[in-house]
Formats: sequence, structure tokens, C-alpha cells
Amino acid sequence: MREELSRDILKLIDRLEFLPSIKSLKHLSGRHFSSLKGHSPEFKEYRNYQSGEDYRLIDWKASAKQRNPVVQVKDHQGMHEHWMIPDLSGSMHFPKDKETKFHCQLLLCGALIYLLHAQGDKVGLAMAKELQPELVEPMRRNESLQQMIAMLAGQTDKNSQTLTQTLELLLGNLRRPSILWVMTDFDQDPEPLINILKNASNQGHELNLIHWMHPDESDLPYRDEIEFIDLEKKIENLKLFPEELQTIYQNTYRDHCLFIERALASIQHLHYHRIDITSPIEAWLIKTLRQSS
Amino acid sequence: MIANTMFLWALPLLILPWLLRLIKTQKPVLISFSQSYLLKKVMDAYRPKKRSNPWWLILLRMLILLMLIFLLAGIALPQFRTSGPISAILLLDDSLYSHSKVTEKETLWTSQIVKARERLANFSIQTKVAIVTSSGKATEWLSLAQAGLFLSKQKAGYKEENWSRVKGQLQKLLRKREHDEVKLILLGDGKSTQSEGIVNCFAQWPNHDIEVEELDNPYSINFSITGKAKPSTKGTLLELFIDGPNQSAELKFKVIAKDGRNLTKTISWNGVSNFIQWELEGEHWSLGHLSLDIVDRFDFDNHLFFNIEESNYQKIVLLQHQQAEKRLQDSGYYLEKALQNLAVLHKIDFRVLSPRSWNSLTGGKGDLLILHDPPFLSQEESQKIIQFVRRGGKALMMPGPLSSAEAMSTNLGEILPAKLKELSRKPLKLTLPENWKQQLPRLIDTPLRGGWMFYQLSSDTQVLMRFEDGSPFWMQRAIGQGEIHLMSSPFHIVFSDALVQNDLLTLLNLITNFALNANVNLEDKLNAGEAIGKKMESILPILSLSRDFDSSFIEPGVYEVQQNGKNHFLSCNVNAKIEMERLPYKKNLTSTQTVDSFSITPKRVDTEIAILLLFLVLIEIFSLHQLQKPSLKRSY
Repeated sequence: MREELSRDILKLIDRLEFLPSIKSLKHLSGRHFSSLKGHSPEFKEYRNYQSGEDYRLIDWKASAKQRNPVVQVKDHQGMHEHWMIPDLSGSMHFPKDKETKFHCQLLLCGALIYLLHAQGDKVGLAMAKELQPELVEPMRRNESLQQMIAMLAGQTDKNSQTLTQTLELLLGNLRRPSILWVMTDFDQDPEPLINILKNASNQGHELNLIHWMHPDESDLPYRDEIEFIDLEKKIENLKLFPEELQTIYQNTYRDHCLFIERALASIQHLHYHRIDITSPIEAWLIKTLRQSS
Repeated sequence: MIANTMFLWALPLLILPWLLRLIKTQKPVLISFSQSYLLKKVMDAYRPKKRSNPWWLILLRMLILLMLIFLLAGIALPQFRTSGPISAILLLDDSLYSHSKVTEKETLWTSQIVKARERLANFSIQTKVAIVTSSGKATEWLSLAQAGLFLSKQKAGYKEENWSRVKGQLQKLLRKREHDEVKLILLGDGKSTQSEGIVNCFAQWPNHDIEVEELDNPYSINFSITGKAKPSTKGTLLELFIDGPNQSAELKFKVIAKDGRNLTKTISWNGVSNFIQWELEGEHWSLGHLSLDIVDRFDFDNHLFFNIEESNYQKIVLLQHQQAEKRLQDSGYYLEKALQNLAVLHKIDFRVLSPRSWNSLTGGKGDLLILHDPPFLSQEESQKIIQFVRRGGKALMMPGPLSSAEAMSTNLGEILPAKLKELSRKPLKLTLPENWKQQLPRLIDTPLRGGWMFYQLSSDTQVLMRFEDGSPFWMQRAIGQGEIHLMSSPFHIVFSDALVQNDLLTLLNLITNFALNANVNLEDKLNAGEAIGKKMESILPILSLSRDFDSSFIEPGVYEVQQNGKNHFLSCNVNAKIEMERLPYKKNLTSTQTVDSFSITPKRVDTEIAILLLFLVLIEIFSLHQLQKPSLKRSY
């Protein structure tokens, strides 16, 4: 299993090698304004201020000299620490017997770790196991790539630790602003996670939130009587005729997503990505990289 | 009583809804789902109403199936009688005949007393008993003990029968038991009491639930002869006219004189109406009793008539066999039933006006008042009828033996289509095809017995139907805004005859339709006989299709027959004559069942079943709909 997953990831990485804009991944992380002292990135060059950009980016002194609003371009190379925080909950193993959300998460994590390593960033991995966070400290070494992928692939069992708790534990350990890659399918009440993301943002971390979803979760396309088993094992089985509740459920799911979008929009330095796992991951990755470049 | 036991085999079908439920029920598909949190939220917010329990629906369907099967099987639920205090009237025969012996040692009188005491022993302690004798003596209402004591002391009086006095006594007794269920037990000469219309006198007490129980031999009759014998005869000449079913049998006649002398005569009955003369030798036959014993394979009970015409005497007395008389008593019932059926058919209201409810006669335009054999009509009652007609109502009059021609002519004269007058019987015969005569002897006889009235038509009367000899049968006269219709046939004597019953229904249908201005094509030249005959045409083929109804013996049950392509049920009700076997006169009878009546009813099952099936389908659809709704019960 582990080998298979590794191979899949490597295939994906191979396809991504041909992309000319890999280096522009750094822009994907966006601008961040660290509240932590003494850890600002190094100055590289000035560029013209573009309309729509945050005015706080303008270097007023240099602009006065150049008589044109300019913005400092800082060299992020080698400056960032990335943290992968995957969702290891049971609900990620949906749909059964198919390509699950968990599998897609593995692919994306692997690809991102590789790409970030390739541009010289340090990448760490935060997982939680039985109430104890398991952290792989950010490293630049290529060997860590295989190690992290192997660790991820080993996490096939459903984990009792929630993503929120993992994130909370990680934030307590971080000493400098980092770029956090949080992955979840929002299978629970989203508010606790949103709150912890707000805290992370306030601490100066830059956030990339990947929302995994499958069309069956939004459409409930089932017929006849179904007994739904909760993958999280948190609530008892629900026996019902989904056709009767389909419309109501779809509306509720839409509201649920809308609520998440609105709540996340209010968080600074957070980039929200919703990924439908029925479409290829690399397509999303390429599209996103191109957009950011 | 179950008419079609075959349908009871369908009872196992009752488990069908349960089986269907088992087949339809599928185990839910198990799906591991990630968004159970949202699903639960939805279910908590939108919990549908609690749906009906499918078990009840299954039970309901089974119940409907059961009803359907019972309907097809034609189950008639037994009628439970209320167990209130019963009043009983014992009618004892203390006449000359009570002296005759029923066994070697026992006379009819002693036999009566024994039977009466047996009956008393079966009554509840609250029962009040009154005892009336054929000579007209009566006790008050007695307790059981008092009645027992009275019976033990009472002796046979060998007195003259006085039926009018008996009637008076009965009415006097009944007046005091107006709201009770009264049982009349005819212990004496049942035939005599019947022929004298004892039971008929109860007709004016419609609120009574009167049960008549005959315990005596019905095949006997009293006769009285006064005056001089004809010179040609040595003694008294009895002339008997016998009419009966088309079977051969041996008839034994026995006459008993007042002094106990008796004579017997045996004749062979070969199914042909016969007129026999029997000369009773010797003197003192002026008062006697005639009894009949039949040795046959079949029970002639309902079918044999014999009339005695004592020709040595100036006055001709027509005495009817008690069974024929019974038909008379039944006539009102059958007519009422026929009218009820018609009312249902025409979707009109129908009610029976009892003598006490004359005051409620207020109708007018469009209403049809049917006066069947009205008894004496008072001036006030007649005025009500006249007003009813003048207001636009229609009255249909069928006078009969209880009607007083003079009284009606006097009080209703201004509206009657004809003046009525009682004349001597004038035989009127209907024309029927020759081959029907043998099958329907009594039908041909109908107007013969009914032609008691003479009609002097008023100028504006229209005769709608005539008998073959020209006598009017159905007359109509317009009065004010209304009309009055008069039938010359009383329609009552042969009502209990099944064939005539059916015919009566169709004829009444025609009449009622006409009287209610329905679209009926009444043929101008159709006389009553042809009208009846025409109706018979539609009935006779049915009978010949299903069974040989010429035979007097029909097995009980329900037969399905076809008439004009439509299905009908022909149901025969049968009276078991078990108690008859105990009587000495009936010991040699082997058959125990006779057809009491039969009737043809349209097979309504078609529509009823269709409605029920539709109902079932609707229930099924409804229940399926219910079953497909989500079961929001959690599975624990």
C-alpha cells in the first residue's frame, strides 16, 4: 500500500516537473506580515505598486524618491517554513472502495512537499496520534520527502485526534511565522476549526486551507432505504429514505459551505481552496500555480 | 347462514397482504457516509410527521379482504333477539275437535295441556301469560305459576268456536302489552285459527313483535253444516276441490263428528286438480272436523289446497286451507318489501303509514300514496286522502278483503275513478299461454279470487288496463292537480308465491313508474293478463335454465342465473319442518324440507365488488405511499 501510494505521488511529481512555473509557487503563499520580531525576509528589489494591492505594502520613502509608488520585493528564498497538516479523521475515507479523499490528500501533500523542497523551502508535517502530536520538523533535506510520505501513507487508520486539536498543539510549538497547509473535509461543526485558524492568522502565520469534498456529499444521490454509517463513529447509524430529504439536505450542505466561505473570508492571510476529488489533483495544482504566477 | 360456501376457500388469501409486505420489505443498503453530521442536522430540523403504523394498514387490508370474502359467500349474520320480558298468549282449542284422539290414549285437549305446560317451563320467570280458548274465553295476564295452575284445572269444553270473540279478547290483551314482544302460541286447531284470520288481527298492532308458533296438525279443518240435506243423498255430502303440486301421493281424509264417530276416505292424487264428492252416511254430521293425511315422498305443505263446498246446503262456504290463508297474512309483508325495493330502485323515500300515523299524511305534489287493502276509512282519514290528491299527490289504491267497498265509496266517492260495490264472486281469468297453465295454476287463479269488486266508472275515468273479459284492472282519474289510481286486483292472495312475487315486483315497478310520471311506454291494448304474462316471459326462461322449478321440491341455496345477459342470484329459503315429524299425522313423511319462498335478485356483487376492489386499490396505494416514506426511527 505504502509503495503504491508513493508511486502515485511520484507519478504526479513527474508530471509536475515539466511545469515552467514551479518557482512561482512562492507567490502561492502570498504576502505575509509577521507579528513576530526579527524574522523579516531579506530585501531584493523594488517594483511598481499595482492598483488594488494593499497600500500598506508601499514603501513611502522609496516612492517619494522615485516619484512613483513602489513596493519592496523581498526574497523569500530559503526563508519559509511550511507545515503540512492533513486531516486524518475517519470521514476522509469516503467514498468507500473508491479513490478516497484521504488518498487524494496524500497525493497533494506529496506533490506539495516535493515542490516546496525543490524551491528550497523547509517543509514539516504535523499529525496527531492518540492525543500526542507527531511533528516532523521542517527540513530541507530531500530524504525527508520520502520519510514524510511514508508517514502519511501509514496513517490509514482512523484517528481519534481531531484536526483542531492537532492544529492547536502545533501552534503552541511554532516559534516563527510559517506557512500552514491545513487540509480538511469539514465533516464536523466548522466553527472550532475556524476559530483556531483565526488564532493562527493572528499569530502571523500564513494559511492555505484545502477543503476536500466529493459530489455525493453535496448531492446525496441515493435511492430506496439506506442505512448511513457514520465514518467517524460519533453518531449512531441513520436509517432513512434519502429521496425524501434530498432537497433539504442539498440546501443545508450549500448553506454549510457558504457559512465556511464567509467565515474564512474574514480571516487574513488565508487562502481557501475547495477541491472536488473526482477531478484530477494535478489539474487543480497546475491551474492554481498558473493563477498564482 | 352461508349461501356460497365455495368462497370460504378464499379465506387463506387473508395472509396475502402480510406476504406482500414480507416480499416488499427490503433490507436497507448500508453506506458509510462522511457527512453524517449534516444528515443528522437535517433530520433533527425536518422530522416528518409520524406516519401511520404499517401494521394497522396490513390489518385493515386483511379486514377488507375478509369482508369481501364474506360478501361473496353471502353470510347472513344471525339476528339476536333482545332478551326482554316476553308476553305469551296461549290459544287453546276447547272445541269439539279437542275431543278427538291424537294417539290411542291421548286426546287433542290433553295433548294441548301437556304441550302448553312444556312451553311455560321454557319461559323466563318474568314472562306473563294469557290463555284464550277457541270459544272466546280469556284469562288476564297471569304469572307463570298462575298460568300453570289454570291449565291444570281447565277442562275441555267441547264448545262452539267463536272466532270473532277470540279476536276481541286477543286485542284486549294486546292493548295492555303495547310495547312488549308477544308470542302467540296456537296450540289448538292451527288451521281453524288461521282460516279465521286470528293472526291477521294482530296486523293492527304494528309495534308488536309477534311470533306465532303452531303446535298442532295443520291439515285439518272444521266445518259446520246446517239445514236440510239434498233429497238425493242419504247423509251429508261433502264436495272437495283439491289443487296441488304435480306429484302423485295418497291423501287420507278423516272426518270426526261431534259424538266422536269418524269416517275415513283415501284417494290417490295424481297431480291433476280434482273435484271429489264424499257422502257422509248417517245423521248428525252437521258439526264435524275434517283432517287430511298425506302419504308422499314430498312435503305438500305449501302447495296443496283443498276447499270444501258443502253442497247439501244452500249457502256455499269457501274454506281455504290454512297455508293458503297464510299467504294472505304474508301479503302485506311482501308488498311492503316490494315497494321498498322499488323505492330504492327509484331513489325515492318510502315509509309505511301505520293506522296511528294517519295524521302525518301531509304530502302533496309529486308524492305517491299507496293504499293497500285499507281497512275502514273514517271520514277524517278519507278527507286527508282527498286533500292529498287535490294538492297534487297521487294515490294508488288496491282494495282487498279488509277494505270496505261501501265505506270507501261513501267517503272517497268524490275522487274514486269508480264506485265500488261488493258483489258475488265473479270468476275472471287472465289469458296465458296454454303451456303455462300447468306450471302456474295459482297465477291464473289470481284475479278469480280478487274479483270481488264491481266498478261503476265515473265519466272522466281512464282505464289503463283491462282483464280479458273487459273488466277494468287499472283505472286512473285526474283530481285537481293530482291523480288517483285504482287497482281492481287486490294483489294479496298469492303474494307468497314466489313467481307472483317477482311478477308483482315488475308490475308494481311499471305502475309506480307510471304513477310517478316516469318514462314508461304503456301499451294501450295491453291487458293485465298480458302484462303479467309479458313479465313472466322474462322470468320463466331463468327458472328453466337453472332448475326444474315446476317441481314442488327445490333444494335450498343460491343459484346463479342469467337474465338478459345480466347475472342474478336466485335464492331459495327453506323451512325445516322438524316439529311436524312428531305429530301423528306426519309420521310417514320422509322429506324434511320444503321451499318456503324463493326470489330473484340482481347480482349486485358486480358493482359492490368493483367498489370494494377500488377501495382496496386506493388503500394499497395509500399504504405503499406511506411505506415508502422514510422511517426516521433510529436503528439502535
